[in-house]
Amino acid sequence: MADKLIKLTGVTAGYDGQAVVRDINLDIVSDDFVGMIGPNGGGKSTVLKTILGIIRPLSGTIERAPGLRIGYLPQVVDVDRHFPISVLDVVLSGQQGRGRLRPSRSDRANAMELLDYVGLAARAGDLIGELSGGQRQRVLLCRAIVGRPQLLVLDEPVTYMDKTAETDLYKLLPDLNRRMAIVLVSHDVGIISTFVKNIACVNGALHYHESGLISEEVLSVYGCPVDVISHGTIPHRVLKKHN
Amino acid sequence: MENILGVLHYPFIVNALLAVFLISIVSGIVGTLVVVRRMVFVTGGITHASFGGIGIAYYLGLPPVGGAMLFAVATALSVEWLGRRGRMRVDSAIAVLWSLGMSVGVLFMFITPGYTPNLLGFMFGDILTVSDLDIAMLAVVAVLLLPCVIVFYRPLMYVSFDQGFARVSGWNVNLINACVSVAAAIAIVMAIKVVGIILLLSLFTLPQAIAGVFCKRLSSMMTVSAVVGFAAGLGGLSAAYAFNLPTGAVIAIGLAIIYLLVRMLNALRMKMNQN
Repeated sequence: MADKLIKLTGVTAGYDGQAVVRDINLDIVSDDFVGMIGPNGGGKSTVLKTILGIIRPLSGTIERAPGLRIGYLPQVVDVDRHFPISVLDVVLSGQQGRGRLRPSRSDRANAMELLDYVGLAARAGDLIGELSGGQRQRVLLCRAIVGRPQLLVLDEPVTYMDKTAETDLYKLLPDLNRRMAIVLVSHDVGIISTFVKNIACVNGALHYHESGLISEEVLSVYGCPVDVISHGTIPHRVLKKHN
Repeated sequence: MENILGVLHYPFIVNALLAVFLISIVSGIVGTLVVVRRMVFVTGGITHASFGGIGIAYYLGLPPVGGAMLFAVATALSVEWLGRRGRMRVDSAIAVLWSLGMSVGVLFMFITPGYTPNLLGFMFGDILTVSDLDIAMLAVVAVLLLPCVIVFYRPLMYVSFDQGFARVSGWNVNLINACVSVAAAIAIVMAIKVVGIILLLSLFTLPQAIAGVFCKRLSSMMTVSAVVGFAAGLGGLSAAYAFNLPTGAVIAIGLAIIYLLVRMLNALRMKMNQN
């Protein structure tokens, strides 16, 4: 039985009193894999920030499961590459926030295990800036999940990554989805349609699609950009035609 | 040798040495945070704005350190507040407070009747006139700062590295930022006596730039910066004592030369590793 994690009811959100998205209803349960697409400026980031609690909605309500832990993987651009911090410490930074000022021995073991999971255990002591873009993003994925979140939010996680690095990252998602709900923001409908169970299309409003009904026509009706469905090394699924 | 030990009989030399030692600790820690958080320009603004407080204090016949402290902390918090949620472009806010503080200082110095004592000291530093009170204040700052940084090392590191993520994971980012800004303001005012307003940034950025060449950890960067700052301070103090040169200028030039040397040695080492 899937638990309710977060429920947005009639949420209008934006900045300085100016609404970017209006009247959003979104329900995320514990085994969800929601793909979020939409044009630039359509409000994807605003919806994410609302889910993450970075901004408060202008109106409407958000219900979170008590003690809900959310992991967050931002876009590459947010990270200072010259910062004197080790790969391991970056992962550990996802562990805190629960009143603990020092990582315990098991926190470290847990972080190392995750680095091993993404194939970067040997780089634990390196500076974060010494890693390639793809490797760095996998480290940030570890940081997002080290606190064992029930919900993982990925914001355009493969921007500026090459195809191989992209594949390496996406390969991990189905496995992670067995342990947590995932919200994935991407402009790449191919990726979205390969993995996700439901699609939220954000374009001023939010349109929700069950996976079986996803098609390019459905998406284009709402002004969502549709990329070519990819045929990479990742197994993909042919979408049902909408009628 | 006898000569070197001999100078320790002068209380002003002992005070100057103590000041250099304490300032190195404070600027090593605070300067590292300033550098990795890219707050160098803010620090410049706080430093210059504090001159306004010095001017007013002189006019009113109050201790100048108090005035400087008030202006420095107010500037730090104003920049912090204005920058949050983009109320104003941060660099513009800094420039406004920078010039406002300086002008207030100049104006009050101008209307203060009679001779304004030690104006050059505030501009360029006057390490040989460090008083017992200065030392006591510096010691208090260092003693308070050190345990805070040790206890809150990780939140400081995490918030400095990625504010957005730190906010999402539940740290009070605004509070931590405000604390760092206030710590920077206090450290700056304490250091004015040693290097002066104009060259103050040198002590808060050059040791860190030198340490940054080979340090991979925030903590080691703080430690190495403090050691480098201490060495430079000793150099500046000797120059001031032996040749009557301005301390701040000697410290800044010395640090810049060390930085160049370290970069060159590092480039050489990398080249040799490649071959």
